Amino acid sequence: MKKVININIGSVVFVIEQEAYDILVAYLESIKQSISDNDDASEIVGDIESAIAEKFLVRKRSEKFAVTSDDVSEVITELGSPADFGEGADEIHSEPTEPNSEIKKRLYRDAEDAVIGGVASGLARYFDIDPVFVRILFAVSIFFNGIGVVAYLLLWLIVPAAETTAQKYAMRGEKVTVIQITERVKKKIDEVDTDTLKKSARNTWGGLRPVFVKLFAVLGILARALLSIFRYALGFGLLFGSALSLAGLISMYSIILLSDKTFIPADAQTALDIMLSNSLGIVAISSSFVMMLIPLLALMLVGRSFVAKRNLFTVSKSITVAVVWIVAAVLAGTTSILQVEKVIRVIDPEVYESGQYQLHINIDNGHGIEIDAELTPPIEEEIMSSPSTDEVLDLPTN
Amino acid sequence: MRKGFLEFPVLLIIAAEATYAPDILKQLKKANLIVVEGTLYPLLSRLKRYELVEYKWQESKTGPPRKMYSITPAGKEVLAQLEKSWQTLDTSITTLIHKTETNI
Repeated sequence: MKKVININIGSVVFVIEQEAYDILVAYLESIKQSISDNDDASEIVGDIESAIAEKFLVRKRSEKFAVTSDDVSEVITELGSPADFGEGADEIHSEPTEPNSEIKKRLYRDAEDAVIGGVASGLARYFDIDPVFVRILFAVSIFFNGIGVVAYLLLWLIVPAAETTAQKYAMRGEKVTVIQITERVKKKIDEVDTDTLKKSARNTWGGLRPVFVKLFAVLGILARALLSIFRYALGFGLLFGSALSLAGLISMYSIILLSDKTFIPADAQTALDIMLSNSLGIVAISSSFVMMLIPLLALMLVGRSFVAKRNLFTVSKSITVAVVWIVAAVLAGTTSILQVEKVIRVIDPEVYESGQYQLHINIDNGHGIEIDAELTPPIEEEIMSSPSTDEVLDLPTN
Repeated sequence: MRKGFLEFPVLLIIAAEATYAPDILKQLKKANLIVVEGTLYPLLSRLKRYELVEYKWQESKTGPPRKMYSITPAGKEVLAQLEKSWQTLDTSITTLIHKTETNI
């Protein structure tokens, strides 16, 4: 007894056996991979599909004909191996190139080798170790606050099970070739026997497990859906938030710098005039702008990464930007401290003086002596040389 | 068989009459040019991209619609050049062969 599937290939409908279907899908998939850099890839695949359809039709023995895996193997030998389709195969007998040598190993749950949900065996496949070690780790972790149990349940919810043949290969980090696929499909028949044996061995758990597996499948879909909703919400939130603040920042700076500044308080106007009239002030303004700009841009990129579901940060870029930010922050910090001093002295000599007064008190109280004491002498010197010296000096005596 | 060379025979076949991929393959095999079918489809799409050939869809009674390939004016020009350089190459090689034969 064999399960059959209806497929539509080259706009002709065929009945095909499950096994044969798996092989065919894997074959087409690997062809797509080997010609993925070709601009006409989808057209070529279309051509191949109609060629396959014609070949099946030739083999059609009766109306109630189902395509078998032998038919598929024959068709595949006629069409040639996936590597023959690639552009790289243009050179004769060149070194056996591997068109898709970068196979990304992905984390899946291995449902075929599962005690509970296949998390341990999936992790073991990912790290290329024996599942027994992972299972022991999980078992041991029960005695440490049961943290492993929580982790296991979370992984069961979030990590998808390897279901299609391609996913099973991605889980093992192996390349999909026709021979491998055929071998695997054949092996599956043997696996079924051992599977039934395994199941009867774990009788009670065997009865309960399917229930849990179903439950977790449903919960997992929900959890993944929630996660992706959350991801999009967070991503777009960050994008919009940072874009708005970016616009705000730029417009604020441009209004302050470019307009006639009549709408802002007189004190602030003088403060700005002072800052713009000396080079240190300009450095303070521009470096503070960069200092605020970089985190906003970074947030935007974080948002984009969330939406695009991949990390858009590269190590080298991140380091460069971080260095620029630190330099800007240090510059902005030091220069604006100097500016604040200058500005306060002009705008409000009383505050400035009372500040100095408090410095004396601080010294009396014995708090923060060292720093304050150091600051005091140069300030006094400057005051002596400034035009409002008399006034300023009079004030503390009042 | 070097695939880069296959464009020439394929163009020759298509220039003779409008054909579709399986027939091109049959004729190549008849001419003892052994090709894997898989190599033909990318080659045809490449020729089409360079506008040396074009195709029209043709209904088929037995199967999916077929792409009937025919040669374009540009394709004819390229083919003429290819034939010319092939003949020059052929004469040069033949002379060389005859020379070595007489020397022996």
